[in-house]
Formats: sequence, C-alpha cells, structure tokens
Amino acid sequence: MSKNRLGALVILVFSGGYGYLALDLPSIPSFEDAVDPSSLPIALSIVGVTISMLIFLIPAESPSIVTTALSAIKPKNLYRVGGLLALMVAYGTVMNPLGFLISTVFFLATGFWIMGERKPKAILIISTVTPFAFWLSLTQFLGVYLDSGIVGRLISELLN
Amino acid sequence: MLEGVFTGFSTAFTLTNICMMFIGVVAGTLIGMLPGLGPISAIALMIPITYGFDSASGLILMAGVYYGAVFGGSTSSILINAPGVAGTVATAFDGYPLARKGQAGKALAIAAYASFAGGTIGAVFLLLGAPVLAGVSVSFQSADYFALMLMGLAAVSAFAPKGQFLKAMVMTVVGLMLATVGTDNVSGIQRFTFGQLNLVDGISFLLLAMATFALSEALMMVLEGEDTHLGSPATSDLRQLKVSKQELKEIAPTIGRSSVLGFLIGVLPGAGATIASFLAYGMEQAIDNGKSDVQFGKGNLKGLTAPETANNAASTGSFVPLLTLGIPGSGTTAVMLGALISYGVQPGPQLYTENPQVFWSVIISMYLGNVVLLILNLPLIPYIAKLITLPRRFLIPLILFFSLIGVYLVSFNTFDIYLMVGFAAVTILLRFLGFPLAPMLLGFVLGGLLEDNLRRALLISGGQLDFLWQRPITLGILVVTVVILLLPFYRRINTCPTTREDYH
Repeated sequence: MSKNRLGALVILVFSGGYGYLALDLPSIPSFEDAVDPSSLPIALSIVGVTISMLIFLIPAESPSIVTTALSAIKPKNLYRVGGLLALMVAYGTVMNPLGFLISTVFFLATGFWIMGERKPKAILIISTVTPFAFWLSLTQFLGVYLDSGIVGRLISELLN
Repeated sequence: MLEGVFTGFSTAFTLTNICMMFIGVVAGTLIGMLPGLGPISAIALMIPITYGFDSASGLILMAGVYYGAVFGGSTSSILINAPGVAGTVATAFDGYPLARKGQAGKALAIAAYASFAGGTIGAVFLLLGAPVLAGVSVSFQSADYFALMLMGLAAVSAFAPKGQFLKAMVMTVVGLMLATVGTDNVSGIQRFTFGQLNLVDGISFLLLAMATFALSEALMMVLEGEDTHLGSPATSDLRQLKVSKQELKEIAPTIGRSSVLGFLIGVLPGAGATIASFLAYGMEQAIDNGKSDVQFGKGNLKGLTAPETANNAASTGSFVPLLTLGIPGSGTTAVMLGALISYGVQPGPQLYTENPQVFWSVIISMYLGNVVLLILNLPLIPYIAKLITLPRRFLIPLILFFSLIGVYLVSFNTFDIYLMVGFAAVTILLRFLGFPLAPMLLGFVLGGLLEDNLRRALLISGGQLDFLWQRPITLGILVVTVVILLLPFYRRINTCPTTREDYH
C-alpha cells in the first residue's frame, strides 16, 4: 500500500469516528443560535471523509510504498523513538510525586542513555546541571513557580 | 502615523527592552539553528518563559526570537545543508555550495544583509500598508470574516507543494475538527471531551504546536538516523565576513525585487516564507538566464540573496493580515498570535483604533529585531555555529525536555504531557506518510473563529445562507476563494522542489 493511501485510511477512520461522535451531540435549537453544536462537526466530518476517500482513490504520480519506506528505517532508531515516547509518559507520571528536579534528572539521564550515550560522567553532569540551572533561573530570577519536590524545597531553605 | 511610530520607538528604547531584544535574537538564533526547530518551535518554547513580562517587553523579545529563528535556520542551511524549516530550503541551494567553496563567512554575511534588507523594506511596507487595511477592516462584518477565513484555509492548501493539495486540505479539516474539542461557547455543551475534565477547555494551541512541531521534529530526527541531516559544518572560514562593493552592487537589484515579491506573497493568507523564497529564487534564475559566471545552484550570490530577502520580507508581510484582521496567514503567525494573546494583545481592527500604541510597538519591535539581528549575529556567528556540532544524543532529549516543560509550565497539569506524547506519536505517523502539519495548525487556530463568525452571520441573516452573497465584499472574497481552490488544477509548480513535507 502507498503512503498516501495509508494516510488517507487513517484520516478516513478518524473523520468517520469524529462524525459518529458528532451525531451523538445533543441538539439545542434556540432563537439565539441558528447553528447546532453538532452542525459544524458533522459538516467537517463529511468533508474529511470525502477528501480522504479522494486521496485514497486518486493514484499518486510516484507513489511511495509503505513497506519500502519502513525498510529504510533502522530498527535501532525505531526502538529509540519508542523508548523516548515511553520515557516522556514516565516523565509525566513521576513529575508530581517526585517534583521537577528529580524527575527531570531521571528524564534527561535516561534520554541520553536511550540515545546511545554511555559515559556516566557526561550523563551525570548534563542531566544534573541543566534542570538545576533551569529551575534556579525560573524560580529565583523569573519568579515562575515550579514544584521542585523535596530536593528543591531543601535547596530553597538553604538558599534562604 | 508619525506619532504612532514615535510611541513605538519610545516603548522599545528602554534598557530592559533593548536587553530583551538581544536575548530574543540570541535565543531565536540558537533554537532556529537546530535542524528541525524553526520559528514555530522557537516562539512556542519562549511563550511560557515570558508569561510574567509586560506586553511590550514580551513582544519585543518575541520579535527578536522570530527573526533570530529565521536567520538561525539560514545558518544551518548554509553551513551544513540542513534547512531547519522549509522557508530556508532555497537558501541552501546556493548558500551551501558557497560554504563548501570556503566562503561560509561571506555566505552568512550576505544572508544577514539580505535578511536585513528584506525585513527593512517589508517593515516600511507594513508601516504604510497596515493602517490602510486596518481602516478598511473596521467595516468588516461576521460574514466577511467567515469568508476571509475560508479564503485563508483554501490558500494554505492551494499553495501547497505539488501533489500535496488534497493532503493539505484534509489536514486543514483535521485542524478544524480538533478545534471543536471542548465546551461549545454558545450552548455550553461539551464536545468530544470523553468525560475528561482536562479537555473541557479544549486542546491548548501551544500544546498542539509543540507536539506537532518541536517534539515530532526531534523524534523524526531520531527515526531518520544520525546522518540524515548533518554534514560536516564548514565553519573554518567563518570569520571572513567581508563582502566587496562589486558583490553588493550585484545583489542590490535582487534585494529590491525579492523584497517586493516576498512582501506581497507574505500578505496573502496561506502563502508564507517558503513560497516567497522559492518564487524569488525562480524569478532571479529566470532573469539571470545563465548570464552569471557562477551558475545558480553552484554558489551564485543572487541565488542566495533572493530567497533570504524574500523569506524575511514575507515574514514581515504575514503580519499585515494578523495585525489588521486578527487572522494568522501561516503556522508561524498562528503561534505569534498565541504569543500576542498571552500578553493580553488581541490583534484585529480594534487594535489599531483602540490600542494604537500596542499596534505600533509590535511593528517597531519587529523592525528593531531585524536591526539587532544584524549587529549581533554577524560577529557572534562563529561561536553560535558551534551549537550545530552538539551531538544528537544530548540534543534530542534536551529538545524533548524544553518542549514538554514549556507546555507543562502553562497548565501545571501532567495530562498535557500525556496528550503531547499522543499527538507526537500520531504526528510522526502522519509525517512518515507525507501529510503536512502546518495546515492542521492553521485550521486549528482558525477553527473557533470560523465557527463563531459563521454563527453570528447566520444569526444576523435569520438562519439563511444568503449572507454569503448579500454583501459585495463577502461575495468578492468567496469568488477569490473559489479561484484559489481552482489554481492547483491549472498550474504546474516547476520551481518548488520542496524537500520537506512542511511549509510555513
């Protein structure tokens, strides 16, 4: 299957699903509003489905095949992207319990490691200095609140 | 008008604001130089940091970031043949060959002069043109706005690179769909929130911009492998910035032509810096017709000057519809609109009449950003260029961190991080499949305004669709929209060998 067609299918499914949900939106016709909350979404869904079907049906001039394009991607890079996506989700999960500083050190250090950095000294220095410098400049100079967790509170107390 | 210009200058010329300008230019250049990160990402990254600033300082900083990012993109185009954004692709055609010939310094100097000249001429046009259009736009009604937005959205698709028309169109529709998520302003009904409290206010523009541009660009770099973009930077001869009088004489007419062309294209909604730079390049190539000693594509100075001048003039031109109508014409101006709103500035016809000092300070700070860019970047470029050599294994996690934290700092809600990751994952798939993302962003920004104006127009017309042809101006804009939509069927874009799927 060509890239165009797969993309069209993805958007076709999205537009269809969006339209299905739009049909379920309550209709409240009132003298103040000539358009229902569902009017525009339904219209957009119809346009989305129509255009994606056109893309699917009209053959591209020089179609790029999905499997060929996929084979050009090294598995190592694919794993790295997957790893980074998972790491970002983990970052969001630990942000509140651990605070900004610890979670960011964890995020950066793991990120560098996923990207292939193996020197512990380099990982440690950059992943520690960056969040601390960022945190200091935001909280101390720009006056932006940033929940820094237990570690940050200890440093704040020391600084004050 | 002179009074307004004077007010704008007096606002900008305070110690704090001059510092802001310098910080903005340096930050913008640094971010713009990183392959993949362009003005959209640079401005989006800076919005949360500048939240606490007063509107004038914030705007001045953003103007610096904007021009810095455009110039930073040109730097990576020239030095490593890695255009960060589509707007600087044409710069690499002759800029990189010049750098390979050992004239990297000269190429960067010409790029800076050309950008400055394009920005200056563009700013003069903006100064003269914006008040006129602002005056006219005061009489615009909801129906006209609705028609204008349709025109802007149609233009984004119509000016898409060859073979991308339908894809750009469908992505615009996807953007419009995403804009409907959240509470409906009129009825108060929640749409597509899946019962999630976090979605009641809709999807944040900054979140979508960062996920679809900064995050996904960084992840695409990983997917495409280490050596896809980066070459060895030609940085050894960066200190030789001298351009001879003869060379300046040679490029002067190109600067004049490309500025006018760039500005006019920039004013059109949907046609941004990318189209302007390619058209200017094509125009110069046609005018030259092989007469130059150095061929186009082999390091011709005019080939470098034309796109650089045009993309800056177009960037300035794109502020005309933004400031006077409140309608962003490109992905970049859409983010700039987000920045303006975050400082409490609502662009549109009322801005000029009710808040002229802000209107003028935006225009003046745009221009001063250009001046600072020239005086600051040229001497610093040998040092700034070292950033390009920062290994990707460090760079990528840092970009991801700044993108995530930029959005998190606005809401302090970790749900936004999850949503960003979700959008980034889908965006990577769409990028891989060759679907452009700038139209989606524009559709998203215009979605709310489009629906509001449609509703208002229908309310005034008693629910009848005759508002579409009752006023000559509405009808006129709609006719132009139809013509724009028919354009792709008649034209052949031989001059747009776009290498990336996004355009701004």
